[in-house]
Amino acid sequence: MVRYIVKRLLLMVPTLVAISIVSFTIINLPPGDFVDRIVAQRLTAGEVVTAQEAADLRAFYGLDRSVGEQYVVWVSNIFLRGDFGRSFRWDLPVRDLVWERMALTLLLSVSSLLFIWVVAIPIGIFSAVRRYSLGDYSATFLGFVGVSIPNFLLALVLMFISFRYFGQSVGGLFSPQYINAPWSLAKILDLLGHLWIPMIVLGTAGTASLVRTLRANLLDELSRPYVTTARTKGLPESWLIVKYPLRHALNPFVSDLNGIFVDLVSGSTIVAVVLSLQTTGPLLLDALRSEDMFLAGSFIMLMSVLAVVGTLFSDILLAWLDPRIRYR
Amino acid sequence: MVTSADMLLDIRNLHVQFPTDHGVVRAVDGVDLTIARGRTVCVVGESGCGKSVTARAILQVIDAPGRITAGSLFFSASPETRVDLAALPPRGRQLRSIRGREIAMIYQEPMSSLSPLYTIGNQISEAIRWHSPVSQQEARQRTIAALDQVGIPQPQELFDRYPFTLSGGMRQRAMIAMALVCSPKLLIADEPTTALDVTTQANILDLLRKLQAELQMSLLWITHDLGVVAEIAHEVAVMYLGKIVEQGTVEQVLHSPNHPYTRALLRSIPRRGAGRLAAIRGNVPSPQQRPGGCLFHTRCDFASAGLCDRVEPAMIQLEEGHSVRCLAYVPHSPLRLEQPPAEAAATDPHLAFSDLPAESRPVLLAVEQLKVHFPIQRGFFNRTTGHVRAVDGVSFQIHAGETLGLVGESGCGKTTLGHTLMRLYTPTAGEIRYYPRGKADGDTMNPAHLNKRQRKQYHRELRMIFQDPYGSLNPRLSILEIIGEVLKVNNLAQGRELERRVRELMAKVGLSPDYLHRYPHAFSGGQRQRIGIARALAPRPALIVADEPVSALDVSVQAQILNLLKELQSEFSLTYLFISHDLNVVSHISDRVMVMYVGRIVELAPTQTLFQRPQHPYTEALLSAVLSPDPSVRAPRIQLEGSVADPANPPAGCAFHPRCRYAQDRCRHETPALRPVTSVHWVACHFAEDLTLHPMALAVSNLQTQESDRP
Repeated sequence: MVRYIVKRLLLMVPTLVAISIVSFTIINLPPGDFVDRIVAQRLTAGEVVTAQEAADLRAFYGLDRSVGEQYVVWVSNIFLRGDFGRSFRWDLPVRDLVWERMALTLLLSVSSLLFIWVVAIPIGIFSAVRRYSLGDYSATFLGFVGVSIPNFLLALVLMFISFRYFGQSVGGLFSPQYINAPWSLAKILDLLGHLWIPMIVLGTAGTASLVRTLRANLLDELSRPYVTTARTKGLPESWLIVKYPLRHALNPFVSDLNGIFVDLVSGSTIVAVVLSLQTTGPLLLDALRSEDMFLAGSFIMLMSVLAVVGTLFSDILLAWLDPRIRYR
Repeated sequence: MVTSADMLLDIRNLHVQFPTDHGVVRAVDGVDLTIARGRTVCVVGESGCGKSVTARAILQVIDAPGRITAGSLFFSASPETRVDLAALPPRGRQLRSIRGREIAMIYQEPMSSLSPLYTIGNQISEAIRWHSPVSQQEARQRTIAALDQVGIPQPQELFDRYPFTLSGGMRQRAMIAMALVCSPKLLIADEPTTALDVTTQANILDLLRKLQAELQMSLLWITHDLGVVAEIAHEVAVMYLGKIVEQGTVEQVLHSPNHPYTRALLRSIPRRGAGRLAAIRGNVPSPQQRPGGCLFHTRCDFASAGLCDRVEPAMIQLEEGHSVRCLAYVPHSPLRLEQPPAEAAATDPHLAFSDLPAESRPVLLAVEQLKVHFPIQRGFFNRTTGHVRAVDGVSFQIHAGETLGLVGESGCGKTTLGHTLMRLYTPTAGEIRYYPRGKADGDTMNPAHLNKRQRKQYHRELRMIFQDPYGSLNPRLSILEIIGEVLKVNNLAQGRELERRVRELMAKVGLSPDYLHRYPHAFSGGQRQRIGIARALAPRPALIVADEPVSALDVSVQAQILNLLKELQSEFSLTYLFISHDLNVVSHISDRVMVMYVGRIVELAPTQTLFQRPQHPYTEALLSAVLSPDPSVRAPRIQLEGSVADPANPPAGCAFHPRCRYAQDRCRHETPALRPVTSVHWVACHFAEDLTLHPMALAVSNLQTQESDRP
């Protein structure tokens, strides 16, 4: 097992190098750079920018060097000093901009994931074991509703409900008084009070599809001979379902886990905009639109790392879940 | 007579039904069966006869939506107690405490009956811990003791292993240990040896018989194999479409079978020297189309119109303990169960080449020093760390018009060899030379170097029939497309002509040409195998490689297919390479037989010689493991321990020496070559001439004569 993990960690290195090259290339692909944007902005504002000024600006931002050089500088700074460069637009170190949002995003992702598991697994088991019962049909119906409602609509509805009936401040992850306040117990409680709306919004679709997947997987497994074997051993039904078919049925779902991770970070942009969450999605969108290349590049980089780590995480979980993988 | 105190399980008028969209399926339809303490009762019949459902009903573990609709299952754990299992709620505590502790069950598939996610020890000790308040340590000790009892070497080590790291035989032993760990009063075994090699099957049968005596346990054994019945049963019940049609002691039922179905089952067992097998007509009808009157009348040779299709026969007692459900035994019945005249006259129709001994006919295919090795790749960069020597230096010839049987345990390389001849694998070394029909001996084809045109010709003349009638037909193609494909790609026929040819082929293999546009799912296993045969036959091949073509089929259908193969052989002068693990089948159909072990041929001889005077200890062991459907021949078997040696790392010297009871020092160092002991008999054993080996105990052929033609 240790060997397996070490091997996987080593394999991550070339993957990450490749990702950094690709992400840097992508942000350099569109014609023009940040300086072009500044020049265009000043022109519309009626100012005149000389070629010399533009060249100075380029030199200031380091944009006059070759792409290869820029890449090396960027990567070595990340690697040696944890310095992701400077956001042109915000005029702040990328690190300061990103970390807090990353942390909040991760918190939101993990809590949504837990929400999905806690809700979906029992419903999925119930649906499979009591197939074609009233409960199964209701779960199926709600599942399809959950999948088909757009997230942002759900967000709006929940916001309305929480404002109208609970009197809660709407949007964001904090009440206004805490936004720039230092961390305290009260701020954490406030955060938790705000967390449930995005958690449910982000978790609903995932829950619905997990219920469907788990039901289908479990139905395949429930008729397997090893289940009957367990039953003839005299095991109670609930125990044997959790011990045998459920563990088998979780397999394809766990291998999917990394996808959920990435999705929760990058896929929730619309919801984050609607709910004005201080997560990474809106910032990334903004960075891409303003050609803020270090910010955008760092984002893509971090997301890729998250994807790779998520894959490793799900593979380790899978190896724990299914000994056949360990023995390969 | 069994007194009620001796009665362990008393099944009365059991009915199990499956409500489906197409109506109610009556899977078990009024079964009465008793199992006495310490006895073995076998339930036999073809698939779809309700045997397994009966077994599962006892513990109420029938698959949904099936349920017991009537009847009772009286179980007496001790002579004083009696409980009706059918009346207990299936998920209730009382039934749970009986499952696994009083009544245990083992299944056909040792592969899928154990979960791969937990260790063997975990899955066995769990049964103990649910039934008795013992510590984890004690459960472990008892599990290890049980593993030891079923003959597993190093049980402590095995406790922590996962099922998928074990061979099929070991897994089945572990299953048995799991069933026996709580010392049940009754063990229900649902075809527990069907998926195993003959040698492993023999070991498991011996083991269960020994354990039964030790533990004073009763056995309810479900099987389709009359050889197994003869081997272990005290009493037998023959089932057909959810009803018991004949019941009695094993001697009564197998020595004097009375129901036409029992007789037909016995006659359809393939055996050496028999000509055409007496197959049972058609298939087991689907449960939705249960015939009225006698259930068997649609396939019975003796059925009388107006009687058997109208009157439902009751169970009639013939003598103490022996009863039969057939109208011929009703007093003053007009029905007579006489041998149909065609049966007695049936002789071997396959004669075209058979007049000549196989070895003097022209050679069709010659294989020389053929090796097929597969690399084993491991580690970070998939380095090749070794080779699986699946076929390791094999030489033989196939003569035109003969049937060459190829036998051996699973893992011995039979299938790889067959696939290599078909060019599905590329040989690592050695030569295959094919002598096309009608050409001089000098003009040969080596499938390793063929151009595109020659390769097409090669694949027209060498065809294959596969084992799995379900997996080998594309479900999206109609029968016309499946059979006609080879004619089309070779430009042999098109359009109307193609359709005409396919119709002709379908008629040849006994399928109605009206089914031309149907899809495979509409056919039964036997019919699908006929489609596979028609597909192989389509381009008029010279040689057909048949890889276990009948092992997935019921014995009656198996007989139909074997008959068909023989007929086609004489009609089209076909040559067969017949791969099988079933020695009865091979002895029936082959002119010569080749025995393989760990990638090498260990013996090659005419069928008669091989079965009567085997000269390799491995052949002797294989023959000894064959079960005879005659209960009076319960010969002591040669225990062949362990499984086939690992072809990636075969033992030094003779690969068979670790399992050979005659092995000497020389066998451990020197690899024996395949050498002729007579002009037609080749053996790879240093001591072939010195050993006196046992032939197959054969009593099958006597059976027919013993059938009493009672009324």
